[in-house]
Order: sequence, then C-alpha cells, then structure tokens
Amino acid sequence: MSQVGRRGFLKGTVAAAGGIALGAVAGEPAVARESFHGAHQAGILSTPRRSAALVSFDLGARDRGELAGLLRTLTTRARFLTAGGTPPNLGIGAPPDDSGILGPVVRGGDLAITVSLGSSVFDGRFGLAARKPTQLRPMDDFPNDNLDRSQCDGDLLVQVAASEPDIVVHALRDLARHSTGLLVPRWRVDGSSAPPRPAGAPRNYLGFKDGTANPDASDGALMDELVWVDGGAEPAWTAGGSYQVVRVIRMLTEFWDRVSISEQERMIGRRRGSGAPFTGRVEHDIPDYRNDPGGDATPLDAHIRLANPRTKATDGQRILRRGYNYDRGIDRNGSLDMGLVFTSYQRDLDRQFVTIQKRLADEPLVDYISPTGGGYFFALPGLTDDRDWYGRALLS
Amino acid sequence: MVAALDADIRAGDYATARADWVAAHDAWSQLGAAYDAFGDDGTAIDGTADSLPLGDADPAFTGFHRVEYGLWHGEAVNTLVRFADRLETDVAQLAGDFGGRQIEPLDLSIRAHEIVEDALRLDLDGTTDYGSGSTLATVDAELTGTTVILDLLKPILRSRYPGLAQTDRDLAIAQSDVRANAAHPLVVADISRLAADLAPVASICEPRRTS
Repeated sequence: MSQVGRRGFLKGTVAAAGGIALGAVAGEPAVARESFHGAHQAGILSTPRRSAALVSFDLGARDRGELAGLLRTLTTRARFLTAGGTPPNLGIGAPPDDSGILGPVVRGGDLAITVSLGSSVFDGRFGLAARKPTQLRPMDDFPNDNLDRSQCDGDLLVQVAASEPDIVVHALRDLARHSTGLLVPRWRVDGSSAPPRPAGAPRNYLGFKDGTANPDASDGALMDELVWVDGGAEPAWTAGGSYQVVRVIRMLTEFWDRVSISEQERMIGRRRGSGAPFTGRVEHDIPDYRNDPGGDATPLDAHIRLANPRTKATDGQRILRRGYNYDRGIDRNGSLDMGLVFTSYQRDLDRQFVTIQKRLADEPLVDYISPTGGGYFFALPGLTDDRDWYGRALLS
Repeated sequence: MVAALDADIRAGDYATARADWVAAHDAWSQLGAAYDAFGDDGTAIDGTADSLPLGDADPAFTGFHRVEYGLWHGEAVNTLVRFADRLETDVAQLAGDFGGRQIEPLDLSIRAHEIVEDALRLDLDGTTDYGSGSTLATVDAELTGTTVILDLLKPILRSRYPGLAQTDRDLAIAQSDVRANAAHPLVVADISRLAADLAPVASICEPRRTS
C-alpha cells in the first residue's frame, strides 16, 4: 500500500501496512455535572452537553468599579439561570423580566456557564497588568492558520452549555440583557456535541470519533497535574482556574468526502468505523508506537501520533479537550461552513497546547481544515459559595 | 512572460503590464500547481496574503498576487518593481529546481483531482483575486491543466474507470461555461460536478495490496 500526502507533489512516498496488536484501557468515564459552587467552575470537567454557545465580548466597562459590578451581575444571573426559579413580575410599567422562551418557570439543573478572561483585560484600563496570568496573550498565529483577527480573542468569554438549544439561547439572552452597555459581543460560535454513534467518543464532522484519548476527568490528581492552575509561578488569584484555548476550525467537508477512506484513516491514525487505532481492535486500545518506529502501522505524521506520541516525555503535555461541532450555514460560494470548536483546558499553555500545536504543523490533515478564529483565555477559579462572585480574588 | 511583465512595470506602462500579468498568470495556472505542488517555491510565486499576520502589507506576501495587488491599486513603480523582480527570480529558481526533480506517477493522479478542488475552494470564492478580476481566466487555465493530466492518465483509466466518458463531457461543459462567462452558480455547479468525477481517479491509479 502506498501512501501519499496531499501536500508536496514532489515529495516521496512512504510505505504503510496495517498491523494487529492487543491492548486495553478503560474509556473516558462520563463525568457527572458539577455544582455551581466549588473550587472550579462548572462546564469544564463535565462531559460536553448537547448544545453550547461561546460568545467573546469586548468590555464597555470604563473602570475597575464597573468591571466588578459587571462580574457581580453575571454571577447573580448565572446563579439564577443554573438553579432555576420563577422570574419576578415587574408589573405593567416595565418590559417583562424574562424572555419567556422557557415558559413561566425557568427549569434549572441542566445549564453550565463558564466565564473566562482574555489577555486584553490586563492592559491599562483596569489596573490589572500586574495580575495577568503569566502565559495569557492574544492567540498565536500558527502555520496553516487562516485567522480573521476580528473573530479572535476578546476581553471576556462566556460559554453556555445545556442539553437543549433553547436553554442555551435563554441563558444567552438573559446574560446579554443584564450586561447591556458593559459587554459588547465581538464574536460568537454555537456548537453541538453528538450522541455516541454507536458508542464511545462523539464524532466530529469528519466522521471520526473525537476525544477518545482524553485524560480521565474523574481522576482528581490527574486533573490537578494537567488542568488546574495552583498558584506557584502564577498570580495567587488564579488558583483553581485553567488556561482555556478555543480554536474555530473549519472542516472542508465536501473535499474530505471525496477522499478515499484509507487516505482519511491514515491522516487521522484511527479506523473511522470503530475508532480503533491501527494497532488495536477497539476504540480504547492504546496505539502502539514503540514497535512501529518507522510508521509502518501508524504513519509518523498521522494526527493522533503527532498530537500524543505516548512517550514518558510527552505525558505531561496532555490536554483536556472539550470540543463542539459547529455548523453555520454556507459561505458565499455555497460551500458548507462547518467544523470543530476545538476547546482545551490546561494548566500550562506553552508546555501543553502550544507544544502539541507546533508538532502538528504541516500534518497531512491541514489541507482539509482551516483554523479561522478563537483565542486564549483564562477560565476563572470556581465560585466558593453563594456570596462569591466571578473574579472576586482578582479584583479585591 | 514574467520578464515582459517586469520590463513594462519598470517602464511605468501599467496598462500593458496588466495584460502581461493575466497572460503570465494563465500560463502558471495551466501547470496545475494546486495544493502546494511546488512547495515553498510555489508559495513565493502564487501565494496569497490570507494566512499572513499583516495581510496585504506582510513582507512575506510576494509573487503573482502581490504584483496583481500593486498593478490594480496604482502602487508606485519603485515599490512594485521590487516584487516584479522577485517574481522573475523565483520563477527562474523554480525552473532550475524543477529540472532536477522526478514526479511520482501517483502524484499526477492526485493532481488531476486537486486542481479543480483548488479552483472551487480558492479561486471561485474570490480568495485569490487581488484586483485583476481574472478568476474565470484562471479557472479556464486550470481546466486546461486538468485536461493535460487526465490525457496522460487515460491509458490507465480507460479500462478501469467507467465514469471517464462522463468526466470528459463534464470537463468540456465546464470549460465552455467558463469561457462564456456563465453565471457564478452555474460555474460552481460545473466545477463541483467535475471534482466529484475526478475524485476516484487517485484511488483507481493507486496500487493496491492484493493480500
């Protein structure tokens, strides 16, 4: 079997052959939904809900006092929306308090709201420069990126996720309404997470399972090692937060659908049907690269092999991926505009995400995907109790 | 052709230089350099400013489209001539490099498919137009390039690809519509159909394991 990368007309070919080896590991367990109060925010560790919206805002707040007021308001609204309840009746002298799209009583218990800050919050406006998380910055422009900077970065990111799209829209409208004049939307992308087809990790729009190799989010010690910032070299207020990477990655699905299944599988490094690695039988078999130094079984430039080479040295680079599929119509040429809202959480931006992304430069898959937007954010620490508010430790 | 372009820009004759540019870029497009076929040389010659941090103003933005940008935006001669010189050098460099390279037969079959994918994704959506409005001329040249490659592969395809006659017909229709300056949706439909026709060519030409 001959293998040809689509890039590089004049590059040589590499032989590849399937092999069989056995291995077994538990899959990623579903992580129960977090409570609104705790050491960490909700919507990070839990298994992605069916429907989500990510909105990045620029701040209209003029000083630190207004910023604190805004964050207190967001906390109050998020607390109500998450818990549920009956919106107050403001009488006939004012517009109604609630959009009403969830009916007279807002059902709680299903929604996760996650609030993160971008690096621009730490410029001169609010006197926060000395408190900036050390690695926070505008998103890097990687080789093969096609970033539209108007669709990148921003002061404050809100991620709203729920089991149904109307719950997401209700929360979004409530948050926008209560922050009028203080938050100006900059970019937005809506996502969805597919149910298992037929089992295991949800599939992305390339048809492949996505997230199979995630670290176990129910393993607290592992999450402390890979996801949560615990002070140290970082400003003290960051403890319990996490660096969040969002990348809106368009998939050129029409082109992808015209590529043979064997070429698709060699680019990804897994079987499309089962999700199994080439050296295994089932999805959660661990790919064996040690007995395959030349890439005979799994091509050396396969996506999963570059992303996670499964060595001791690269173990600490692993990230927690919480991506959503997006589908937003067609472009002006009539091509489908869909792809992945890649989202990852990590304790160390450079050691983890950036290192992996650099390793993926020029992988064969780049001809079929186009990163267009996103940003680096810092997901705030959790709200400890019902008096706490987003960013309290940062601003006080 | 690139030399004439350079000379006319140097002389400040932009009207002639624009015609030179369209002719030279057509010739380039016929080569079917889709999908990074010529690597870094190809990017220097025909890359766009799309993925560059500073866009149009990025110093790494060179080649046909940089010259196009200057010619159709009234850029000063002494600025534009630097990019025209550079284009001439890069084309000469590729010609030198190319002589020493071998082309894998399988690469050719992938090219037959991917030139039209490029036309669909990059040219027809306007990504590669920097002012000349020559998109349809480029697509026309790309269809000519596709025809040349397809003809080379016909000895292999004739007995193996039942869709070959239809592909030929769709190719002819597409080229005739493009030359007639047909409505945009019709051209997109033609090229999409052609991309679907050509997709199996690479896998048909790919040697397979029999075990």
